[in-house]
Amino acid sequence: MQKRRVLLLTWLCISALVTFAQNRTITGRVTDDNGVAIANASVMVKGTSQGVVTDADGNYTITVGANARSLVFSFISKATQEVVIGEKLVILVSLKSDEKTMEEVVVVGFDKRNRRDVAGAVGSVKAREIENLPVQSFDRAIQGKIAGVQVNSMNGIPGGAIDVKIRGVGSISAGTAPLYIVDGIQMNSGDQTRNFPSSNALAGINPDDIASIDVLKDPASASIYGAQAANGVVIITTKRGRAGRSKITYNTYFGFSEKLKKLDLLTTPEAAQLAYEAYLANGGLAAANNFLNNTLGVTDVNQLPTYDWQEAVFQRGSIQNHELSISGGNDKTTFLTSGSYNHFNGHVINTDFKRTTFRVNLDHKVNSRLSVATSFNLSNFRQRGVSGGGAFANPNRGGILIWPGNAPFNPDGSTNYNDGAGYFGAYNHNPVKVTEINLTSAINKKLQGSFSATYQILPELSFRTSFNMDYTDIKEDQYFDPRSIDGSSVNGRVIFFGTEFTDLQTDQTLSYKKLFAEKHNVSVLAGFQYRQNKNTGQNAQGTGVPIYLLSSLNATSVPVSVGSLYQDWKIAGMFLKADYIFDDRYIVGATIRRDGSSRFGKDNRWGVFPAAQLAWRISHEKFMEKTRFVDELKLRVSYGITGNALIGNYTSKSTFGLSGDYLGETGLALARLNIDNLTWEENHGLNIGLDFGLFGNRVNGSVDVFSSDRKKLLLAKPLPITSGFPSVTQNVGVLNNKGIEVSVNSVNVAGKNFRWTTDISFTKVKSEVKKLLDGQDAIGTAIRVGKPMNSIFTYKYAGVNPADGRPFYYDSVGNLVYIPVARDRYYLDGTLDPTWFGGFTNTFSYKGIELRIFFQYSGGNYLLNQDALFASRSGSTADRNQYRNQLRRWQKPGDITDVPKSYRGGTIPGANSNFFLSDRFYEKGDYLRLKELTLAYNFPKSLLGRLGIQGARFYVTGVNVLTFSDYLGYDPELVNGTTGDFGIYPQGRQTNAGLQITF
Amino acid sequence: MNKIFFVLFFLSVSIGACKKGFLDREPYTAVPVATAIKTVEEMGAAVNGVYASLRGAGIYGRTIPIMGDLMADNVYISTQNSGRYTVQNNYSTTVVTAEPDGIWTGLYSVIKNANLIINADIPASPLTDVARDQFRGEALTMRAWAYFDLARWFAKPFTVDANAIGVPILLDFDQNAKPSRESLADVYARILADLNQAFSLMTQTKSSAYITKYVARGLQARVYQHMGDWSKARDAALDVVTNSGFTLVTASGYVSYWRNPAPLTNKVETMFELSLDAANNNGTNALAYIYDPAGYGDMLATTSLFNLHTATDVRRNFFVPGTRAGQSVFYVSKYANGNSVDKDDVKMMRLSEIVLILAEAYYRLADETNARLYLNMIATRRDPSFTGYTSTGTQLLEDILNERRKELAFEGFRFQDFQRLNLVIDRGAQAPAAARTITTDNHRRIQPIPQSELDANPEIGQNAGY
Repeated sequence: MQKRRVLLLTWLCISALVTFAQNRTITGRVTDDNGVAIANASVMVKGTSQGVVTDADGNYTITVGANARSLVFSFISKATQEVVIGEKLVILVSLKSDEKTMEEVVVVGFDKRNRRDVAGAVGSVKAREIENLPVQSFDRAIQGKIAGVQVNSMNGIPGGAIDVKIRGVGSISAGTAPLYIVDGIQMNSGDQTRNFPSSNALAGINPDDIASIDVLKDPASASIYGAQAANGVVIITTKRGRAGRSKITYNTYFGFSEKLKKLDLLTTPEAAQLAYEAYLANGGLAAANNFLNNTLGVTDVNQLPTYDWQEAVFQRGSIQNHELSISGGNDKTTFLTSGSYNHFNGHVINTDFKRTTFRVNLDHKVNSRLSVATSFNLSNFRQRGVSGGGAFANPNRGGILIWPGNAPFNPDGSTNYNDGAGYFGAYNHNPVKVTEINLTSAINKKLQGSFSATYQILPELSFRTSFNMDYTDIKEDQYFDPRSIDGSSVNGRVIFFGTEFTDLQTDQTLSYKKLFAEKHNVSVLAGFQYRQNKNTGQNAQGTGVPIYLLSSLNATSVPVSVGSLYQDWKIAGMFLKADYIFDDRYIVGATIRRDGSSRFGKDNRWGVFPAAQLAWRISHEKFMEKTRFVDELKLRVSYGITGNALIGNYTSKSTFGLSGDYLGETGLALARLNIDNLTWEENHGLNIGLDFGLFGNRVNGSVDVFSSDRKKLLLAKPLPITSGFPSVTQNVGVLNNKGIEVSVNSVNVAGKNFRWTTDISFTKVKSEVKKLLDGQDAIGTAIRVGKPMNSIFTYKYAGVNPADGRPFYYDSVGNLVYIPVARDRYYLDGTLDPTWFGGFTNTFSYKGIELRIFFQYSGGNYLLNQDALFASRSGSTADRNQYRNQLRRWQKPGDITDVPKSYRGGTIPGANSNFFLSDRFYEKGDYLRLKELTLAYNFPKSLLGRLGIQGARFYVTGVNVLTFSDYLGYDPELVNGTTGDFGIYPQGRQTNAGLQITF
Repeated sequence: MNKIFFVLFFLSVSIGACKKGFLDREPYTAVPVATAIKTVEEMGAAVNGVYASLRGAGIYGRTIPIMGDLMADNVYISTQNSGRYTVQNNYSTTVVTAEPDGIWTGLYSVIKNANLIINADIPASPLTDVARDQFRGEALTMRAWAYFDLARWFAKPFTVDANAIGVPILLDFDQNAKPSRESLADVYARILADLNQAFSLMTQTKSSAYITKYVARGLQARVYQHMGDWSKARDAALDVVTNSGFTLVTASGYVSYWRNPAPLTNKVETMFELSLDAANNNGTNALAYIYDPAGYGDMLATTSLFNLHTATDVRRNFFVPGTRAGQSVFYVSKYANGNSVDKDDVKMMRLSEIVLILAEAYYRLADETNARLYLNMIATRRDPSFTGYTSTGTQLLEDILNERRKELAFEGFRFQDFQRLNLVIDRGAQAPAAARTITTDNHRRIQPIPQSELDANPEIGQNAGY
């Protein structure tokens, strides 16, 4: 106890602004209709922000000032109750289920609202749904939880980038990422590294610090963020302190990460057999025997040893996480401070992620009119990665393709350093050695800070000012050891990249809220927002180190290159938002924002983004009074325009730029054309939604249909080449995304001890390219007017001619041909992007035991399996491993199969190559995944009380536990692009056990 | 009061922030066009930029010199090749072939950048006028060079039809222009005017990597040669030979002269070359790399070219016998630094060429004595055992052209000789069977205007046959 008090005092000193107050103490208990205690119910002194929450038994203790008149008790889905204090010292309250609607609070732009008052499409996730998951960033955790929000890992690299798209692919050439706002700070998102394989800028935030995530999906809701809002807005609110007893929470979990699955590959004798056949077919018996006897050095393929390369490059990685958070405060000051350490050792050898975070969130009331708040988050994370893509040193490719007769380890268990000449085949790097001696790392240091002050000018009028900053410093080091094949030719190579981002922002808002005559609820918000972002960087590269142990840049003897980077942009905007709610039945809202961005041409720098929203709470009409089972029925309609400013910083500027040096002297040339009329892409979006709450709100949810016309899309318009420029960027394209989103939350059983809830989200989205340049009907084959974005246009594989083993294809009229021509291609019935996705969670709780089962699913798309393109060659390349299904190759006339005859080089005369790209390598992307399985036990209070512990929770969580998919590669969850699944670091399966204790 | 104060503060912040220019951000590594080239230093940097772009592998860095030999009878592509320039080897060029597109795009980009230098308004100053005029002269020469090659590759030979359709002439930067093609006579008039002005502006000599006034004069000689204006060709060439101060390399120094990858300041042989140094070069896209058997090694010398050389001809050293794809072949080692860090510079003009222009001009002007004098100046220098040509009449012309073929082999001259002389090209048995004899009416001797240009500017019009 003593220790805790000292600790508490220390923290209080740090948060300097804390002051103490005294006066009356009131105690009591909050229960529901059945007398069951309600934990975490809010108890507030009316007219102040002073308040406490109830403990696990529903008990509370609150100290109130002399002039406090009444207490307000509230809890999610319960009707708020107000009790006059008078002379009472004990107040017992029973909260009734809310007859009105879900009292959930959602965060919309610059404001918080009750869910029932929202007329747009806003999706939310609360802390309890994402806490204690072994993920490095919160965006990963919301996958499958919010309808309309599609989250895909770009890879499984610990701390690697995540692709988030809200309501489909919104642009052809500009960015598609939403705007992220954390505690009012607009964040730089995406991958900020320049050399590291994949990094997520949002990984600096500990997901367990987050209280809620709200996603503004429809343009009308997002339009208050104007030119940055076209891809939706994700608003993150971190946990803050509450008045009352200080709460200390320690949370830890440990676990491991493993590969999702192992691909079925050939043994060395099998691979050698296919290669032998390849030589036999193309070269004859002498060549085949020469290959076997001399190249492989055996007389019988069965003499060859097999090494399991997948076992060599994958490992059982470890996970370790510690978090300590302390929160509390009094009626004037509340605080939350937390620290965390996360270490994730990847399931691919020599990859990891280490993060330390510190957070301080502080709220203080200076007086009855002025309050201030600050949030600080300091984080440092280091990633160690491995070569990616098609690099021979990439373990994720090597694990599949290295000739299985090459030994990764020496007989004594040490790593085999004799790769290169000592290995057979094109994949002659030993990734075990390479990842041991080479280094690819990135260190991110991030600081996010915000300060805000709110001044209550009148009870209904307040002014808020805030100043925010997001600062990032990244150092990336790469070292190619001279002992590695990639480093040997230059005797070692050292590459350094340094990158800094400084993002400064300010918001000034004036807010007016008033309820007239109990029926007319009016609120008006006017504001100004400014943001500037500076990005600087340096890079250097040198080669030639004296000995391999000296891996620093200053040890290199040959300076190869140095470089620098400087770019900046600014955006400023003014906005006005007005909402009117009549009698809790009719909701009308309008927003207008005027934004200017330095990125756009001087003629079109400023733009206006209007939006309107309407909602009708049908359930609150007189005629619905008799329909007792309907608690909530709200029809919502919204329409708005938002902008997409995610383009190059200087795209609109005509400039002289560096154009190559000449004899060591700088050369300049006209680098870019002036585009005075360049402007943002626009999202014109209509949303129609229905919210419902049935049977005492036990079943509630919403259905939304949307249609977004993405207009003024940037495309390169060809210029007469005689101008000296091939093209100029213009706002001409049009794209439409439409779809339906369903989310349902249901309390299936709500017994005294047993509770079963189900949450479902489903999204279907369809895109269509409407317009490109005048007279242009396609850009490449993936973008064609009338087709969805990222369409797939390819040849139709017809299998293998049973007569001679040659692969053949269908031509445009359905005939079988060996060598199809361009016009024989056809569009697959799906694109690279999933068209439906979502998730469903079942949560069971019995007394202190909780079981959560979360399935996530996605599909309707095709995946380009590029790894298969290399591993499905019937062994024809004769120097690498193959999928086991290649044993199905055609061997003799009459064989009916889809795998062509093995033929050295791959091209059987009179046919296309055995691995010619066709629909054979586009696999269906549908999958269903048991994303999360958590079993938790909350220790009974009776047991803990004696130990001075408020609560303790023990849990076991599995992530990516099971995947149901026909995909042949490691993981069907991937961001496809045109390169497809090409040596991607696959995701892993994590299992961890943890303990969360609250004092 | 408080209320008013806050409202005022709020408004002032909002309005103050929206001042004009508030959102103007300019890139750091680039300067806006309006402020570019206001000083001589900036002019110099812009000239460097054009030199660097001339080096591009799509134009003088590789494509133009390769096509100049490959489409004639000096070079053929091995059956074992990297796939580069096979379209030209096969004479199967179409509107979507990459190389003519690259030449068209690259040269018009050179013209755009040269225009900005030529038109730059630099105030007169006794301290900087010399440098300014020099830079302007260099830019004028580069622009003339670009128009000359555009005319040679994309239009009929001037000697065939001086009034044939040429190429668009752009003297100003204008992104909205949709120009049409001018007649060849107009294009050549522009080239000559630029070169005259360049000659009078330039006074400085830096190194062989930079244009000098005699480079402009030498190019003039070459242009007149292509126009068949022999007296002017003679005058220009003679001016260079007599007054430029450049000397011919000796036989003993010839091989080491070609082995040297760096620019010269001794005024021996090289009048102008594009520098490819260790830091800035075309890597594996260098001209040297495609000849180098340790590089792509695609380009092989024809037997007919090799056979022209006597055993004592120093130039025979550049033919390296080897085996490729099972055939006995001659690799070319005129460019020896394909695999070195410092690649061979691209020779744009050598004194030998000017001397041979002079010989040819004297021949055309019926002065055979002087024709033989200048012809033998080259021939006896390259083969110390050779006593010199004594031929006359058409045999003398034949000898001059053969000497040109040997001296300028692999430098991209041969095809243009066939063009200006309007001769059938006999590429020999090493060329693909379907492309061994290229008659003068073969439309592929003139490159197509790129399809992308036709799409963007219908005024252009395609060349016949495409």
